[in-house]
Amino acid sequence: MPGELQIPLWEWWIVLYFFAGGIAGGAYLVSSVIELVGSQADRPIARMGYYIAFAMLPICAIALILDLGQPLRFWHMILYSRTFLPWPVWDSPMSVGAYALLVFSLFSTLSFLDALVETGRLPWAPLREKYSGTPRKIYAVLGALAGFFLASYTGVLLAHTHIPAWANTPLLGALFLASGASTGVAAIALGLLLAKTDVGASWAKLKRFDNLAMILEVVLLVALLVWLGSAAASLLSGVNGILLIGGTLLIGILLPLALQFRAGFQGVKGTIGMTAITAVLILIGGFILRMVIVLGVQGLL
Amino acid sequence: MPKGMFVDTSICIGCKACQVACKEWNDLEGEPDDFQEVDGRLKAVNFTGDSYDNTGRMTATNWRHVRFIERGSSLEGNMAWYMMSDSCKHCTQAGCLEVCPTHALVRTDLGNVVVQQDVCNGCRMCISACPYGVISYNKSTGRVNKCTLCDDRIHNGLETACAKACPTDSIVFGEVDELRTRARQRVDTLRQLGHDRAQLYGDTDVLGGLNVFYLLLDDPEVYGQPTNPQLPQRNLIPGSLWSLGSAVAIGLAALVSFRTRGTKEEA
Repeated sequence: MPGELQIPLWEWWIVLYFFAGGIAGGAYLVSSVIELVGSQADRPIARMGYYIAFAMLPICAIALILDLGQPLRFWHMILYSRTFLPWPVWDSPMSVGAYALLVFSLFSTLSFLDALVETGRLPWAPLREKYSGTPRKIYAVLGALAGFFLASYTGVLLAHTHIPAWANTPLLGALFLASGASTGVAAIALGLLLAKTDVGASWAKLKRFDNLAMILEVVLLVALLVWLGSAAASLLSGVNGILLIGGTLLIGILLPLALQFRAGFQGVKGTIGMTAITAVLILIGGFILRMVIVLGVQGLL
Repeated sequence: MPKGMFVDTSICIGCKACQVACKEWNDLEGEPDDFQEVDGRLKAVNFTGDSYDNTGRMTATNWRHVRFIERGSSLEGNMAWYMMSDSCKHCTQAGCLEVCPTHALVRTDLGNVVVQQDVCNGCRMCISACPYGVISYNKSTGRVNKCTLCDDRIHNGLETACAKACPTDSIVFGEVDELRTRARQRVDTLRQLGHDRAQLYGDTDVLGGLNVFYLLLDDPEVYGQPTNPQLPQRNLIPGSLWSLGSAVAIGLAALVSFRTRGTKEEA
């Protein structure tokens, strides 16, 4: 660190939060796009995206709370503790992010309940009677916007500091978003496999989107390192370099991309192993990316 | 009128009375030993061990850091030994205060920036928002700490503990405007005496003006201070715009991948 800068000591809980938040945002985005322009055959993918986004919510909340020095004061992020009134700080990505997580949780929960109603898993008559496609399209749009925010603001938050490897580039948020999309799709693919849900020809759509997200991720990762210049040294040297280049770029992005072009996501009728391996590699790469960016830059790896 | 301190490093003798007074008044614990194995031997890594500057930095229980900087060479006859009693600068544009999501960091009517300990939840956002590395995380309390400009003393008509203890009046407490006038005169005097590089650090040109500012005998980097510190918000708009661009690209990729209109499937 230059001069006397101090590190914030954000550790594994924050890595987990960044990872889970990215998956939640990415998975919800896929679902919402299917909601708006997809076909009936894609519906199982949309529902799985909603399930995954919803499942990530408690992980995000628990990780954020346990990271705090005073976990019981987690609500101070939303309400000013002396007035018990909301008081967002618009200049603070952490404050705005806390509110965005709340908004995302609301829409994600609504979509989750909707998916349960759609499949008949929520046999509550009043809900089933009121069920229609229109409201879910509205909150799919609003939830997707919050999901975009959730997946990317963490990178903007890191840039909102004086730590050179975080602050000397504006690309971290963009990179986290691309990574959130690819890990979100990977989580959906794994979820579909585990639930033994066959989505037939829709696997190809999932694969196409995942490839585009990973290509964008490679471009952004390389651009970020170039942009950082000398500040990239802390990301590329020692353990950080091995993890970022070997773990994220090669194993977590380029290898899955190669597998995708060869076989990759094939669904339950194809080679299940190949779909699972591709998805797991993407998830590992996404986790390592956040590990290096958060822990590695602080010298905590 | 904001209160602050003028620290004239040209008359600092490195006695550390300020550091001790700060610890005493604010009831700060002694620095704990952090022993780790270095080159096969146990070493308290949080102490320098090779300098009068034994603490090396500010911590949650060490809100003042007296720096010792050796310049030049005694053999060449240009040896200089600078001292600087460093602390929170209580910046007019304070990054820590602006990023705190809980409003734990506030500015009082006297212009000093303090952490409200009953509000802070230990998120640590402020730590890396400070370009001076002033704020530290206190693991034992789960909150952050820094110099308060002796908030309790100055709100009761007293000067800060460090200024009170300083035997050479290198640290002077008072109204910032008056201190600045006095400081500028002192720079002129030193320059007339041949200290060509004498300069103020923290006049209105740095973060809107530092309420605790310094007279230095050399450039700020020599004293470990950033020349042109910025607010952390400098990255907010570029970072957000790039994220927005990425969101548009990802959104288009999803639309292209999942759209059914005009495809065989729909037909």
